[in-house]
Amino acid sequence: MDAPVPMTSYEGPSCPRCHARLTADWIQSGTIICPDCNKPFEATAFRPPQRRLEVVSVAAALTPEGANACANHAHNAAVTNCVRCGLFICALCNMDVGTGPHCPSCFDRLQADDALSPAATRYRDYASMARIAMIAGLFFSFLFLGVPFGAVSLFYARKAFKQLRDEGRSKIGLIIVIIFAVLEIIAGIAWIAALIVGLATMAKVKK
Amino acid sequence: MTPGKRKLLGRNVGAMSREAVYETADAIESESRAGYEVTRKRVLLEEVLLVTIHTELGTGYFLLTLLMTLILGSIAVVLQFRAHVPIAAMIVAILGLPFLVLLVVRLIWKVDIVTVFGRRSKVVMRFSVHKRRARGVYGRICSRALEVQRAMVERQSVVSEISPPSPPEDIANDAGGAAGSA
Repeated sequence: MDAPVPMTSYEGPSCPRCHARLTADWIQSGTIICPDCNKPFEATAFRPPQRRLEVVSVAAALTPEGANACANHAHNAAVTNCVRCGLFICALCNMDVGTGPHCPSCFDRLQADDALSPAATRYRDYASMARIAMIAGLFFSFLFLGVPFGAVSLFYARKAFKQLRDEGRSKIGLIIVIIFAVLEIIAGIAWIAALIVGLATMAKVKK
Repeated sequence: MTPGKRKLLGRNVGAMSREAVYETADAIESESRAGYEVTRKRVLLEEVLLVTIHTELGTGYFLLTLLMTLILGSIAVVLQFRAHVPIAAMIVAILGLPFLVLLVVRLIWKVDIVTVFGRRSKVVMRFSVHKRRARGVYGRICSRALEVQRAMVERQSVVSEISPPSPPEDIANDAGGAAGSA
């Protein structure tokens, strides 16, 4: 069994030189001299406000139609409903990270299944995989491996295309990879065909 | 995936890690690569606590380039003056030249490092040659963070003015409420 990978936990601002933890007194704007390594660095400090949610109680939100209560918090007015299960949820329960409103339990389930791409923090870089397969195909084309590597490159390029489209990133590099992969396949097929024809001609000549 | 556009701010390339740092509408986003796996983390602009900039030599990089220059340089000298093989000496010297250039560049310019500390994570960017860009990125992150945090304070003050008379269940009651409904 693999040994567990030690995780380095983040403990807040530290000296960018020696990584010694900076206490609240040391977090200030201007030139700071680290109390640990005595070396200077320039800094700008911020005092970010705590995020506060606008949670409205049912009584306060009463309109002529009335307000629906949150399924988890009876005193809170529902602001929306879960797109997956339809549960009425208040601002506290609304788990929306660019995925649409989800209740906490649906969010947990979808994230466990890797079905919430905006919440994903780890993914495969298909564009790199397509590029590497294409380059490998160029190197090994003399061994008739241009065709399979080209096909693999196109397979990953298809996935990368979707990934880049979702991220709104440029696809120019990927298009170049696709062109090379297609050329690789054509050249590979031509190379195999030439070999077969050559062998057939040699057999004919021998006869 | 992150929807919307993002702008590359800088990179943090070390011996063991490759990281690209982007600016998005609401955060500074970092993507570190290990093979084909990309791990993404974000420092939200509304949670930025400290932004720092400093210049350092980078001891590991400096020692590595110095060592390579010395090794290849001494081989070239030995080949030239002891073995009297000028062509081989020249080839080795040419191989060692990039290390010498990298060493001199690092000695002259050093490396500018911009670090953004958030509540939950931090991102680091290194600028070896583009000093003005490092300064620009530092200023840009500071102004964006200030802008976002000011807007957040204003928004919250408006919300508190129209707050309802009876306070709703808050986060402290959240666990109890959720347990009760389960």
